[in-house]
Amino acid sequence: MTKLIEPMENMMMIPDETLADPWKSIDEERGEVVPALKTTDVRDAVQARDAVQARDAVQPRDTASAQVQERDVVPPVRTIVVGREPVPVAPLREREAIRSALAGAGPERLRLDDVSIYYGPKRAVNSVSMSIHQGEVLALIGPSGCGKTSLLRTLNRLTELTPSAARSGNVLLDGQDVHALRDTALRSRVAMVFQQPNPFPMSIFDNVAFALREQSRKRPRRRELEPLVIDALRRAGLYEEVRDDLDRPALRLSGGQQQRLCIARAIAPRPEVLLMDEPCSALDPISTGVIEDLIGELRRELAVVIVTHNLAQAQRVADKVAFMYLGDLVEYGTAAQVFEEPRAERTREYVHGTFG
Amino acid sequence: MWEWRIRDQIVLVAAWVAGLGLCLVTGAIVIYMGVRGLQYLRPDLLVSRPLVSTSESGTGGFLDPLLGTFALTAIGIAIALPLGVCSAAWIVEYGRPAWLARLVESSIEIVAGTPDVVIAIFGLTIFELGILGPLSSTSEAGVVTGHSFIAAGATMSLIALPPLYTAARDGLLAVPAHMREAAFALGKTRVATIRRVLLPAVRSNIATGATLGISRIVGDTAIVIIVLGETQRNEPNGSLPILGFLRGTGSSLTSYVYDNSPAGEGNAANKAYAAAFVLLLFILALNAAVGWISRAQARSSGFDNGGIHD
Repeated sequence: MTKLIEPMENMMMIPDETLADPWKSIDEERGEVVPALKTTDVRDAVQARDAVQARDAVQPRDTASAQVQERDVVPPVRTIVVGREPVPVAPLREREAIRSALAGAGPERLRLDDVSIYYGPKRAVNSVSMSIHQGEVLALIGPSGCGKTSLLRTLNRLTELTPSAARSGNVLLDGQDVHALRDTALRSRVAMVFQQPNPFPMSIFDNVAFALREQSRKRPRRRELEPLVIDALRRAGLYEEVRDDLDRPALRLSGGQQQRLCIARAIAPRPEVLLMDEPCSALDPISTGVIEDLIGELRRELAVVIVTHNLAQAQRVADKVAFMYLGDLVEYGTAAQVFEEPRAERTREYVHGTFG
Repeated sequence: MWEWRIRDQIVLVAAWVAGLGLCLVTGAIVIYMGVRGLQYLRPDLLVSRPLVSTSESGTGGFLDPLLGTFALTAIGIAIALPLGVCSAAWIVEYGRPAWLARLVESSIEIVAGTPDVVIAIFGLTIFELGILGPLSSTSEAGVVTGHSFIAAGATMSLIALPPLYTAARDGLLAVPAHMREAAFALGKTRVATIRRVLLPAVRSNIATGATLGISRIVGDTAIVIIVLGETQRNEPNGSLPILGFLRGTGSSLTSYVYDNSPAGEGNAANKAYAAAFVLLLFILALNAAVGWISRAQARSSGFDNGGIHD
């Protein structure tokens, strides 16, 4: 465990000079002094990250063995036990260590290039460019109506369902323009989880199998689907709670379980990107905690983009943060940077709760 | 409630009186028909064919009208169900261009408001056309009469369509938009979303609509008299076993009740009561079926979409 605390990134996240009061008290509690950030540290960290990136880039995307190995090394952040209240097993410091060990951007999954979104004559998103990497959680923060959800929904072209919506600029998925892909193909590679848990009125099994069942003439049999469904439920941390009866109606589950079922349903076809539109805002704090930990786990296998109004949540789950205000991407950077030393005045005001 | 304003008290009393009065009338019909029916209904009436006779005891049973009612229901609903569900799905899920949607909507409203006699005459006109000859009974001389189970069933589908369409449409409108989004976000096409998510979700609404449609068909008389030919027995046309029956003429329980009532030619009132009782049982069974279907759906999916629970 102590080894995991080593990486430079951890230090980079909490630079000493910029510690706000709440952080200071936490650090005093821990009884440790975080060394001041030096330029050499930053350079080392960047080098380390580049090395990781290079390593990941040469690895084929779906090497199961590599994933399993990685999985074995890293202990789960929180154990989810059937019927018991989930408890954070690791103290904050350890969790941070695990987080930073898990972080380290992988290959680039999505690149937004000068993306603007219009609803009729109104511009909702104003030429946004950024890139989204596997192994990272990107949080889109900002007040309501500032284009976060619109931006999220263009990534899998759900905005096209709104007749008045138009878009300019490019979104590239693994270097390929998403508009060159068929929308159905794109959406199984860029999955989405919504604010309100929305399982279909069918059994748990059918919900997860739904995305796996191709629209072909011959539908796969239950026997063939079962391992895939169980795997998806397991990755979403729900399997232990529902294993006794997968044929139970999904709408009988609790809200948090329903949301995890939606996550299982979304990740079942092994997407490359998972979009989450305020996934916890309808849930109680315990379910929220479970899902936040799940997000931490999931970023190993895919890139996660999460829209949230909850700044504390963004601080807990995000590696990168993008602050949007009135359609503009005001600030983009690591979570530590955006929350600790925001470059823009607007961002500073927002993260300190002056407005929003 | 006695400290309420007088106007509120009057309305409250009126509401109670109306509700109880309705129950009273329904109860009276069911009890009266039940007593009369049990008095005259004998099991052999259900399995013996009608006969021509001057005395009431010699007129036989109503096997043919019973079969006729079943056949008409089956044909009518087999046509109306896909038609109603598809048009509801189109209008809710596509509904473009708007003028076409308005046209479809008002067409169905007009059909719903048209008296069945008018629809029956229209049906007869259509099926009398020479090119539709194979669908109805043809006389020795080759004249297309337009009378047949196929023709009557198809005409019946028109009167079963509006309740089916309305029920399916209301069900689809009640499905929250996020359920569609969820399916789209999983990479499903619109058609797959309708087939695999929306229609299963509104099963109970469709079942309710189908049952209402069936009650319309079972209860209709004008179309039987005008398009089915209202022959005392089912008269197959041609020698083929099933096709002959479908192309032939016949009668239903409603036309049997009409014929044997004091108003009709048969004038065997007791048998009319017995047949009417069977008809009533049929309707009551359908009502029970609707409740059972929607409860079963709510139980199996946990999703309540405004079906009828009694």
